[in-house]
Amino acid sequence: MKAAAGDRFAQELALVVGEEEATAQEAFGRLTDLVRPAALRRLMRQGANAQDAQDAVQTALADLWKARRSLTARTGGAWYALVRLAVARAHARRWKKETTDATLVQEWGIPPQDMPSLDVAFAVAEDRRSLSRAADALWLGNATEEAELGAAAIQLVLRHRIEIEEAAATFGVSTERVQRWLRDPAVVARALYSALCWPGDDLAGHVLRPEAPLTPRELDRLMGGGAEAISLAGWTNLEARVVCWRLRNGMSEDEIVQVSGRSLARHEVEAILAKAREAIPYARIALTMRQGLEASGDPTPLAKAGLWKRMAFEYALRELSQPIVVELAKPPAEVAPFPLTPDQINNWLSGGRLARQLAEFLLKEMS
Amino acid sequence: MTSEAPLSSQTVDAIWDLFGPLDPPSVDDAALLALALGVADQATRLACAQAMLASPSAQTRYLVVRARVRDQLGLEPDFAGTLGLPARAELFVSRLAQTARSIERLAAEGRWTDAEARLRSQTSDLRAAWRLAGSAGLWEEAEEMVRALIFPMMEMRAAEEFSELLALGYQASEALDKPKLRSILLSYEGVWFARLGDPARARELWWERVELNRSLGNPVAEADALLDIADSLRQFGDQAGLLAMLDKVERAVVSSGRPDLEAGFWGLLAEDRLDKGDVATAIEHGVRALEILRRAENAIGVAPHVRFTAARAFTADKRYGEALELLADCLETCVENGQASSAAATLTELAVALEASGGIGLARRCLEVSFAIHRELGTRHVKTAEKAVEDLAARHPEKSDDRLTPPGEAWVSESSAILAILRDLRSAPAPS
Repeated sequence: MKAAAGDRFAQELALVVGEEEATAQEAFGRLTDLVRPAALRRLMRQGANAQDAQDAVQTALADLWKARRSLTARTGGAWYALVRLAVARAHARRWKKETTDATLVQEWGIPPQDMPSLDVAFAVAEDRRSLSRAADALWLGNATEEAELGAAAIQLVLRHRIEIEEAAATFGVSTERVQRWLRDPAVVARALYSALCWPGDDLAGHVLRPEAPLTPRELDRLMGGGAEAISLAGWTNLEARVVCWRLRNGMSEDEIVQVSGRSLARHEVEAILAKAREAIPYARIALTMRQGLEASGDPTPLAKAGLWKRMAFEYALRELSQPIVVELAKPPAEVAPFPLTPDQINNWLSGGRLARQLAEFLLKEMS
Repeated sequence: MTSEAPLSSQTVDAIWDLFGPLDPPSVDDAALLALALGVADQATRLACAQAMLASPSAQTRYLVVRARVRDQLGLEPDFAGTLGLPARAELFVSRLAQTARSIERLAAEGRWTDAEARLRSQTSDLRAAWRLAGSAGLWEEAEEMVRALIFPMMEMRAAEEFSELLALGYQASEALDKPKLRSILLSYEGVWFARLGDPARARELWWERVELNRSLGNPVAEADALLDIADSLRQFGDQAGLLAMLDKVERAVVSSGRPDLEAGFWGLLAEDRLDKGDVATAIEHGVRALEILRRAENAIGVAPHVRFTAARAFTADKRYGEALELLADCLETCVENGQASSAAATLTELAVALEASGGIGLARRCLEVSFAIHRELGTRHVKTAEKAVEDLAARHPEKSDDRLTPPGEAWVSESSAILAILRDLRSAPAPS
């Protein structure tokens, strides 16, 4: 994976604190490229708008450049922790917030004992696909390119009922290979995960118009109030926006009431979300795939905890709250069957257990 | 790291920020089509698999593409016992090449609206097929599709498709060693740039065509290209350039032995005279061009242009009857050949002659259809065409209450209706 990431960071930092100005600038540019997106995401999660976030990050990086000779960070995680603090200070200064360094450290600081986990996260964050592959490998099993081909072929077979011969010819392999994929737990788990955990845009588009799912652009138009030309059977414009707020933006009922300008009462929002839940296809897909797996002789991959942990991790990455995770994952889990409860999900997500598990896995892989 | 102590909430937040959500990888329809036809390479298969796993919309698009392929090939719903996947690619391309030819035939028969409707409804499959023909090296099919579709795509101003066909055509001309195909493409590409308002680039391409055909010993295409260059110099006011090459163009058209090109040359001279206000000489050249045209067997390319120029000269000389006669012939040819932009110019000129001879209502109708065509094609003359409609209404306010709604895409039927009225006028005594 990223075995040399730590060494590379140390080399870059040595250049930054060095005498040669131009080289230092280039190295500093490379280091800031690594942390800028995460720092922006952080501020925006705190409620800053895009422009304010950009300004604060820019100011923070300028501060760090001025103080570069005294930089003490020696690992990627420590570097990111430092940037976060600098960004918090710059943001607070900009808005003249009354805050002391002590409260900043309390709110933004990383405890030293957590630093190894952050170092690992920093090391893989540079290559985002490797993170996804690592999560697949940890919870679903073998995550090779071969497994990806196999999982796509199996989705055609199990979900779309395309014959094995055609799936094999489509992906340029023998029918025996597809049959082997069907018996490979890692490949099947990858196919199941992909079928039962869609990107928010895809899910919202499908819920609102299953026969011809809305595209992200159409959803944007809908959210921007320019949806007159989009025909939606069974949903009013406002209801459709509620669905988007929930499935694209992960908003709670109360947040939706707020963002609707209180034109909807909480019980109305709940009724719309109940209707949306009915249209989420995961339970039906789980049933179709379970039947396909039963026909091929082994329905157990649906009942393995790794599949549901991978899903919970993905939802946490998307910053969905636990009630929404339950809302999405529980119906297919019941079909699987897998005993997925709110407590179980809470147990996985609280205290960063899944994040730590992944960090430990990555550390082992990298050593 | 092995401690079971939970991470602090700050650390968990920081990790989530570093990880962030991933954008699903995307894949285009051409790749999905190659997958459905079983001709994708390993990298394309992997890209499709990753996109299909990351987003169900890629799966839906794949299923749609697959259904379209089956529909085009008339395959049974079951896979077993049907054609193997690689053989489907060739069949798919050859089916779509047939479709391209049928569109070309419709256009040649003057059924431009049908041709355009068919082209629009099949563009996605046609595009997929020509891309596939290029990637699979099916150059004969590629040439067939390029020859059939490049003119309609140019007329429809489908820039992306036109560029793709052009690139594919150049590749096919190399692969099949057919410089004549290259010559045709240089001609179209030149017209395209001229319409985009880049005459210098257009002339570069036409000069390349001149050189190519000179080396091939093809005097007809060489003269045709020279004529294009000279006309471009005239249109963009490069008098010195035009004068410097007129002798060369005349020699080329005469030695080509093609009366249509010769007529085109005299038409060009007539235009040039008209631009300078020398109406008498313009009429003289125009009449000469028309006489040569009568001897020509195949003059579809230049006939409307020559008649149009001669008609403008007659209008300038207030000989409206002769002008209307020529413009009606001109419009008829445009309708037959689906030449929308030429039809628009002809209708505008018709309006001038009609207004001057008292046919205000019909003049108005001509301008409105012309405006509708320009608007539909999105040409740079839209505003001028709209202003011409308004100016006519302002000059003849008594007729302003019977304004027709321009027909949009139905320019062929509207132009035909105008032609029918003009024919009625022809059988009546000529307007004074």
